[in-house]
Amino acid sequence: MSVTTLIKDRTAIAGIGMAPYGRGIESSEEHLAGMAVKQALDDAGIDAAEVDGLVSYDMEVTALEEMASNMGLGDLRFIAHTSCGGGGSCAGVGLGAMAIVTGQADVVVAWRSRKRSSKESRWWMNQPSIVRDRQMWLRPHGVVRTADEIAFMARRYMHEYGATQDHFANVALAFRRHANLNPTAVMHEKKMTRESYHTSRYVADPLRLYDCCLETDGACALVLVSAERAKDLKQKPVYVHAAAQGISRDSSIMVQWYAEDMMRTQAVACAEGLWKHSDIRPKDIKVAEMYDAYTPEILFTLEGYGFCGRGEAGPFTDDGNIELGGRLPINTNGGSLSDAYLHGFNLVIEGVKQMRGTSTAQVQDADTCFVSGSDLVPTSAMVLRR
Amino acid sequence: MLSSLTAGREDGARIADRGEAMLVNAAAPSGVAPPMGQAEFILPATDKADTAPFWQATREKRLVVQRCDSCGKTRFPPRPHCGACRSDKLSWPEVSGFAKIFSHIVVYPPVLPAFAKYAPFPAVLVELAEGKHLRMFGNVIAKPGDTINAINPDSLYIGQPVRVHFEVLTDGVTLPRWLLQPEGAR
Ligand SMILES: [Zn+2]
Repeated sequence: MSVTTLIKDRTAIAGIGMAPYGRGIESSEEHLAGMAVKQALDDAGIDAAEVDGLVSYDMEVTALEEMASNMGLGDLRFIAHTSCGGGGSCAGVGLGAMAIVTGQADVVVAWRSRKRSSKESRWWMNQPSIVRDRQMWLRPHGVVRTADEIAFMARRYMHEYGATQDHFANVALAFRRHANLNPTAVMHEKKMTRESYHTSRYVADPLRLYDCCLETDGACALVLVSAERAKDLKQKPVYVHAAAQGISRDSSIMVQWYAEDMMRTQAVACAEGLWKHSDIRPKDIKVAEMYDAYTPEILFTLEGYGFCGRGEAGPFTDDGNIELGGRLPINTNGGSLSDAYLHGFNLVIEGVKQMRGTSTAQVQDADTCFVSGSDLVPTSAMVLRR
Repeated sequence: MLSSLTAGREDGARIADRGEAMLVNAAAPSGVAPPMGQAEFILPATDKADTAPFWQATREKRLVVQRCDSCGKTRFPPRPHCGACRSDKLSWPEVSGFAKIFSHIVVYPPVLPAFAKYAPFPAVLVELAEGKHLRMFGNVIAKPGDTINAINPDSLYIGQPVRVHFEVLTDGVTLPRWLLQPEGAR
């Protein structure tokens, strides 16, 4: 591979859009998706007809061609779906950057839209009761929800490294405080205390209600162009410095139960690819937006990407380190736990805001941002810079 | 407010939409599988080529894993190929049934109707005596015949010895359960 094909700093996020986040929103997922994409194009000042690349999640309800028709996009030359739900948040940007750098597309739009606030939308209620895939080894034993699966990881991690529920509380509390600063966060007005955390009901012991992300409706989108093009557009460019995907050896979805080393999550493979192509190191990162379907994922991600050594992430969350003003503020919009659960795409958008200097929990002088997808499924991550 | 995620899962829902949920399965009590939200039991399909021998063995009260006939490595869950040498020659040796708790949780409501009468109940991931690479999920009991919520979950701990016990769930499906063993058992 010649050096000229590296994506480093050669593309930039030029526009972002957010449809309203909330519960019980009436608009369809397809409608919400269009609102977000339209807003992202307006934000960038790019005509829809110029879009020639489109990426979304494998679980997205709106088909790529339907989005193209809804928005009146031009002829598309690059189309892709990212792998594995919340693991694919940064992959859309990474694939888009590859497409632009290699000349496959000039303007790439990526989005995610979800409606999960209604009880009827719980995926597990509608699964066939005869399980034909690998979930047959879990589901008949009552291990059905992802909370149950992550709880196995959490218990084992606590056992091996001495992490406590107080460390999980640090995560939940930090993100709630960030959400309290963010008017569009679903939990903006709801305060959380350490006591309310510790008295919230169990969902899957050792995980409590406040260890689990929200179920919400909403959508967000972004526009990616070449760095050169971005210079002439309305917004300050946010450069994609590095992006990577990963599936670690012997890993499985959610509970890493095939691997002898359960804590060798998907992040390990992704981190190797990411840091290999990044001049910015973990110690240089000023703010991080990490996938947080459950509080322990933050600890696993901190370790998986080398922000902390193995077993050190629990204590790292003490003393306000992951809050605004701390050593590494994480999920400054409130994250999946307190902003909205959009499969991590709202974290991507928040990363862009931090680099623009427009976050409601703006980290002073933040010029580098780490963003990651879920480290418990085939995953992706990236480094943004301004 | 329950959390969610991820691929495979919603993909599964899509498969269900296409009618696969209605597939007749010999393991189903009624012959037709309702969605999880309405089912009395959540059952494994016992008729899939790559996994049927496991469920045949549990019906015979034997716990088996796969072994590669080319390189000898054992594996679980079952796969058509050996990840160590890519051979698809395999056999299904019986294992001792002795194991230790590797991790454990307590499942609280809301749960599926099939488990609602038991919640909260503990669930375990056990590591078989035959190797760290052989782990299985299940429920724990103190004595045969116990329901899955009979044990005080606070009494469970990582490293606790257990031994397989076979629970006949339906005509076609026998599930391995994990019977607590006295401390010092292998
Ligand atoms: Zn082999």
